[in-house]
Amino acid sequence: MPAVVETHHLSYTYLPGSVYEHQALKDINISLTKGEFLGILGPNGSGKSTLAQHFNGLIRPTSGHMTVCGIPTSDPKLSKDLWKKAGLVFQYPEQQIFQITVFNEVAYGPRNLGLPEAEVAERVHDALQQVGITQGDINHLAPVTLSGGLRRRVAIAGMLAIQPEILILDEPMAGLDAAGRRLLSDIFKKRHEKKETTVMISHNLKEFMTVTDKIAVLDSGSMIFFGDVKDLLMRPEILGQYQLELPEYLQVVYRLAEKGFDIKTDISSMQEAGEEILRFLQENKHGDVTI
Amino acid sequence: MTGQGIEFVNVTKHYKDSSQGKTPALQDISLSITKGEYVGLLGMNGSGKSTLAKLLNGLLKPTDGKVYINGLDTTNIEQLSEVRRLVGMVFQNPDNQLISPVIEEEIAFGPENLGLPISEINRRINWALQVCGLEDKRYHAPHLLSGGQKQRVALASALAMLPEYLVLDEPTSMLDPAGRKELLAHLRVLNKEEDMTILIISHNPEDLVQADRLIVLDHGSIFLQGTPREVYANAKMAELGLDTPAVYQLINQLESNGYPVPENVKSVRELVDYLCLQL
Amino acid sequence: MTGMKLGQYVYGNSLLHLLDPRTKILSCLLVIFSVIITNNLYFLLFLVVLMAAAIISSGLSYQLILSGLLKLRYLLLFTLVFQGFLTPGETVFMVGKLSMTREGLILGLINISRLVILFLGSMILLMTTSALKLSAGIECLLLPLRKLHIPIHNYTTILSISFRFLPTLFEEATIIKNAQKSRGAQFDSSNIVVRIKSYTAILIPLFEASLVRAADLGEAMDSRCFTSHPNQLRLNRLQIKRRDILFLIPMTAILGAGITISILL
Repeated sequence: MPAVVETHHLSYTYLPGSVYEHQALKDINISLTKGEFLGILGPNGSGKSTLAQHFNGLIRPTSGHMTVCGIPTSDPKLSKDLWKKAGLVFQYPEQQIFQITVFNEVAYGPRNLGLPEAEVAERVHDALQQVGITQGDINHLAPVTLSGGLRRRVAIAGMLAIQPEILILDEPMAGLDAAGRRLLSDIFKKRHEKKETTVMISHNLKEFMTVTDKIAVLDSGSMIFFGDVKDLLMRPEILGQYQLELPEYLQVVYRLAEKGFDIKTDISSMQEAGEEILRFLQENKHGDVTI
Repeated sequence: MTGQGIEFVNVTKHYKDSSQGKTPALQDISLSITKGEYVGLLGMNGSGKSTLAKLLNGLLKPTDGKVYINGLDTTNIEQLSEVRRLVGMVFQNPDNQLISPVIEEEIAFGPENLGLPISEINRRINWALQVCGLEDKRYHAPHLLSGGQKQRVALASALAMLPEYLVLDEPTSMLDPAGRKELLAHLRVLNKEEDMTILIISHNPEDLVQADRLIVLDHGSIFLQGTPREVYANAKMAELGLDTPAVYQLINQLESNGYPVPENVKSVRELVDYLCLQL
Repeated sequence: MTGMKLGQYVYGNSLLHLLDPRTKILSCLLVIFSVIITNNLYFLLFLVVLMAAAIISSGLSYQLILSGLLKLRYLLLFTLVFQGFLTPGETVFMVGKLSMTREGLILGLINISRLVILFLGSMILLMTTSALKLSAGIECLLLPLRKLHIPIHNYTTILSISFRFLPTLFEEATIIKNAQKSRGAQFDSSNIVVRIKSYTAILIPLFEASLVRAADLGEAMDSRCFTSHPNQLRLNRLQIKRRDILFLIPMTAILGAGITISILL
């Protein structure tokens, strides 16, 4: 399976040679195949957003090499059109809305692709459906009048309408309430099921527990880990050191395991955790204490 | 009404240009908050949380009913300044609260508005910087700070007025986990050591774990009130679609299967310790 | 040199850096006034040399300032040419029907010198005085206007808030620009209409965010009992020292010389 994204010793330095010089990325090596879901984790200042902007050619590597959909991002001419293949959704995307109607806002991307109006309309309709906006009359509404959660979905629809091969989202759940997060979570689950290549950046491990195929952990520009989620969960030193918050139900189970108790740690949901803890209590109350 | 504490007496709030028709933002709310309490306010978007917060310091006035702070009426123009001194506010967006190019000037803003002498202003700046752990940022420009640090500056600026009550409207929703932890730690210290009454509004259950009492709003009315345990154990919470913290979900599961968990178990660590004791 | 902009304050320890902002503002005004009054080219050239000396002795980047001057070269050239052809007098050379006169050239040089002095003077002021000190100085000097019931402090508060948000606005504009580029906005298109349309995709969201910000800031300020008040902390830090008085003496002398020269010659 050919890699749809590949980086080799990717490094990036802001304002090289000046007083403000800062190396944001050091020797990053990741690869992503078509249909995979990649999660990029790390605290603020780890270089996550800088890396995200390399995916669609906004930023070109200072050294090293990156290929996205077969296009080397270091080539200024070729990477100019990379936005059509790699769609980057920034944090708080609703802040970039500038059109008067929802329709025109979502149509902005497709129109920039030079598509005929009929196809633009189709794509807008399709994209809005994908983000769960089904009311027909929303096309004429002004985005300003909508709630924060709806505006975010409109902004994401604006990117989906471009139908990029890869979708990259920088902290898509930031600032949303429980309902908003659930809605977006469902959208990502659907993308994962349909094998649409996605990259999601976050500082919250809980957000990708059930969706991600691969995870990259960044800290101060360096890649601390790249691999499967399951492998990451078995590296408590990484989880602890970089303050990667495990879901609390996992924390309970892991801490019990750390204390030497015989408890299954291969848990993937709250329900399972509860049942496992109950089972564990039952067995140990009956005297089968295994330490 | 006299005495200490915050009192809402049959408060209703309609917005003048309400496009939603007749539903008021708040309907006939009565509640009281005693000094020294740490109260959490939660509810879905549109439940009236922010409206309630702004009624507390007179930014909004009730359409019906009264709001009393230490016996002072928030609709009384002459008492408004004192009300705003007593109730310090921290808002959601860290950037949109800071107006000064230098941190120490930001903190001085409140005391200067109160017309205090420069020696007192300096004294308060020193204290606020120290309480919020910002001494080394005194001469910095705000745009160089992280979100969490900016919120602490907003907190310090509110504290410089020497309030008795602190109201925080979704203070952590734009922060990363590190910033959130820091802010909550400072709130805990303020409540426990400086006896500051705290009302924190959040849709993030982790923010409310430290609360003594939770008030749940739904469509402008009080849906539920009680300790966090009582509230999260209540089956009606599922109707609202709010997140229940994982710890409480586990506790609920344990209790419904015959394992009573004591009141003071609130965190992962405490739960684990309790489970170990069961063996 | 990357990242440093013309007119931006640069920290330093020279005399000019240490002077009270009020002294510097007043000196600027004195120089401006003397420049406007005098018609004597030699006096003006002398001032240019003085400014250059001040720049070098303060450790300011003369390359940066020179490059700024270079950007003005068309304006300066235009002034010279315009003045040269339109002033009647002794012809030096002809271009078609137009006559470049000696008097015109001298007048042109005088005006160029004025522009250069004004440019250099404002650069010196901006690069040796932080924005904060500058607005404190302005506020202090305008304090007497309070007697006329002009709300000076409100204007300085507005100025202050603007300074505070300049870097934030710049950052936000950059982010929005990148976000729109990611959707295909062409900011470097050869077609000017396309370029303008692309920039509205930055301006409108920026404007909207600023409106929301203004409302939020208003609430935050009201919550801290905002009233029009002097910025005590900032004003308190301003102190006239001996060096300020000593500096103003030669400055005033310059103005005196300018007036004298223009009366006598």
